[in-house]
Amino acid sequence: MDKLLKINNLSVSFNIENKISSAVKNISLDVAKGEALGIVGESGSGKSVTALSVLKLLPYPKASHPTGEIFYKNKNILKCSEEELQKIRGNNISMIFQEPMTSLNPLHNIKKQITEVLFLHKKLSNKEAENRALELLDLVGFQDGKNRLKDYPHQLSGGQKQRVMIAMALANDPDLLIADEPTTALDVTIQAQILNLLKKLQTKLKMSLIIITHDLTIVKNITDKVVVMTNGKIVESGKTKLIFSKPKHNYTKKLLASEPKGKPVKIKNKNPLLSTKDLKVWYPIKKGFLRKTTGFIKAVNKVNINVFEGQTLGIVGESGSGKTTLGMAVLRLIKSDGDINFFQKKHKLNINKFDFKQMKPLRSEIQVVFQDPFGSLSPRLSIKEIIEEGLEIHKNDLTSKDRENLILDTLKKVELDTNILNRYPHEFSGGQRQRIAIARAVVLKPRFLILDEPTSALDLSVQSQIVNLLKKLQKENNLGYVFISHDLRVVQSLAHELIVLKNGKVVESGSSDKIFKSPKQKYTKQLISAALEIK
Amino acid sequence: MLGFNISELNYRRLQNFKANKRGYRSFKIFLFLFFFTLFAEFISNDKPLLVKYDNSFYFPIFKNYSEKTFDGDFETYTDYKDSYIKKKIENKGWMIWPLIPYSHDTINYVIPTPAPSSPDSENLLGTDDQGRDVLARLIYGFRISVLFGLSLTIFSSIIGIAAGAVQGFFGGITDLIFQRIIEIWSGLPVLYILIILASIVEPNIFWLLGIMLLFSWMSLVGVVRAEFLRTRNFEYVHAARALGLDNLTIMKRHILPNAMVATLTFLPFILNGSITTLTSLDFLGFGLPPGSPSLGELLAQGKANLNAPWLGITVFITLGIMLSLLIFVGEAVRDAFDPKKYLEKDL
Repeated sequence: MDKLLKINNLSVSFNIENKISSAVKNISLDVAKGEALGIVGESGSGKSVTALSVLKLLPYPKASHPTGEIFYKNKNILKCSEEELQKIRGNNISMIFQEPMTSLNPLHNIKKQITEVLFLHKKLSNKEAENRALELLDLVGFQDGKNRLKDYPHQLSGGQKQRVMIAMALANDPDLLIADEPTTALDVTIQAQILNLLKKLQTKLKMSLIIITHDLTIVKNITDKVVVMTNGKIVESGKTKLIFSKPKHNYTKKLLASEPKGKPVKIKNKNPLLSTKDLKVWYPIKKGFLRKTTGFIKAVNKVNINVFEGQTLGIVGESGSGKTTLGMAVLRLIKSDGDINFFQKKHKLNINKFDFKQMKPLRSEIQVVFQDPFGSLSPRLSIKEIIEEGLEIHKNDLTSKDRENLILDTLKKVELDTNILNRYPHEFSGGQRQRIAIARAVVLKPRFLILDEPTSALDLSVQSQIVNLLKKLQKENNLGYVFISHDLRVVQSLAHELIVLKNGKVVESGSSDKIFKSPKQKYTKQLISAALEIK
Repeated sequence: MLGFNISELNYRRLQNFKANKRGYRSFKIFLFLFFFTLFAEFISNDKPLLVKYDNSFYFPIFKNYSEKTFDGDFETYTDYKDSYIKKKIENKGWMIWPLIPYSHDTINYVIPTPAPSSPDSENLLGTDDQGRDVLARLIYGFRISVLFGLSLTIFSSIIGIAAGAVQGFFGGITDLIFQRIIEIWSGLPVLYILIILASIVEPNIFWLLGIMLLFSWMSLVGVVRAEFLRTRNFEYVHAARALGLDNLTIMKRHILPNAMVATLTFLPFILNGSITTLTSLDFLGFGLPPGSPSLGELLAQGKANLNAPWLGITVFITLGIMLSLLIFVGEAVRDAFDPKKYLEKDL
């Protein structure tokens, strides 16, 4: 087999304010024709930088290559002129990016997005280009492509957008397709679909494929070879089967073991903590000049949940199923109808009838951790200010010295350094930020925590660390959790009870063991098979 | 540290501010000029700082003395520039004069050529067409411009930020109504209204400030509103709500700091804009009352007396330097509050 792409001894350095940091150190790899390669590593391991340098898409001259060469069909890409590169980009080598939401231009319709590449490299006529676009949409399994050519990106779902992205990448029959975390931002069920599609297309079109990911399980079934990277170096490479069956390097072993595992925390008692009865969040649809209400969008429709002390209730479902809305309603951050009962020393309080003042003392007992570790911390407040905020409201009898001690204790609890008080959120990694967000909630000593996809934006190995931390905190403080997630692997290791939501309605509920072992509903079966066994 | 604690955070902001060398230098120059001109009465005045006469001391700057005090003939206030009085005082004591022995409205009657007279050793930048010392008028004019600009900027920022914050935070119908009002209000022809109002009331500096405030507050509303609209649905704002914070605190602590960078970038421009507006009104003759020292009035004189280029050139250079200094300072302030600056350095 001849090598399509060959990277020899490549290094990448960045020069920032006269400080040189090397992101990739002396790596070598190759991809043969029709071969699929997986590059696996945590964020910051240099995998994306490697991929970007194949197309010379790094911010030169800030980035530089002190050593190495990249050969595409015996042509040294690093020495190519800008014009030669433009001929290769999008034509011979294509790329799919992680974020389908921002990778498409919001102002252009699908047709324009796809045909742009065709006009550029193939100089097709308008009619030919449209036909080719339809053909491509068909190829990537985009349903009803003919009627949707004029649609804009905001009218598509995440999975559809990613299909359009793939269609764009395939437009000129590339020899090599580079997919940079192609499924990270997608729901599990769609993740499986997209991966299967990529594999199918790769065999059908006989092209080479490079998949970059932090999730080893993704590459297991669709790549021939795997390269494992950490800190800019390749620590292990070889046949996929071999790496999964006999990992040699410690880091690979760690990655393989980093899938969230284990059993939920043991339950001590069965004291009720929070329950809802017929909780509804309906948004009116208003039409006409007089804005008459013609119907409702039922984001959450008659949902009953029961949470007990020291126990986790998992809420699963695809995006748009109303999981987050349910969480926000329970937090009383959005309006809802129905009862939300909070139990306080055997008193039952219907907090959905409480006003701002009545709610305030309860806020310290009901806390929340959000999904996005980058958006959930005020970027302009220091870590101390972020964690201290709740204390200032709920524990204002404490002196500032006491407060600081409490913050330091909490930082230790969430396994963070105690010398970070005066630093800003952007200086921390995703996992660290999530710990800070947990610290902000836990410092108030709440009894009930809503965890809204707290691990979804994190690397796999960090995910399991956070899950373990959450379990530890639950055990120590007898916390009740509502754990919202689309990732069933994480839910399995944390939840005692489970609720499956679809379109705002409960599809299935019961003990988590039972549901995982013998799901009754078709939808639940689908979710479970997509998450736990990617084919 | 100087008896008070600077938090590490503010210390880093200060370091960032200083790291912008051009801005920091401009700041020092501007601060010097500002303080220097704040004490204009002690630098440029037609009264001596200190008089010793007949073994007692007099402070003419703080107190008016009649001519009789110095054995003159009349009950009127002393004119220390009068050679008759000068001689009298110097016979029995001495006087210490300020650096520039002219105030902004002192008319120099002993100039060599008809006014405007060109720069010489007596009037370093010459005199204007009424025989007043240009340097003295410049010092007083600079002070009034900066003070006016600063107060207008501060007041219009307060109103603008408050209005923008309310609109962006509450959104919906509040935003809609406010936006329409602003659109109508900003459609008014500002300059004409200023001119009409200036002809109805006798404009003093407070009137001008008030009238211009009516229109200048809108410049910040847009950026602040946009920032509030963007930020109000962020997860950290939800998190703050879940902590039990009230709206005002959320706005102040969580959203406003984000809006601050946009605001601070605009501030030097607003400050410059205010100074320029005052200057142009003065230039047109609708600004400060006649006789007040103002850069605009001096500019008008430069235009009227093209044969006396020192008038026009002086104001041009002064305005140019002042406006550039403020822009450079503004840049440095923006850098100081930008948390991303730290990131670049930490990498």
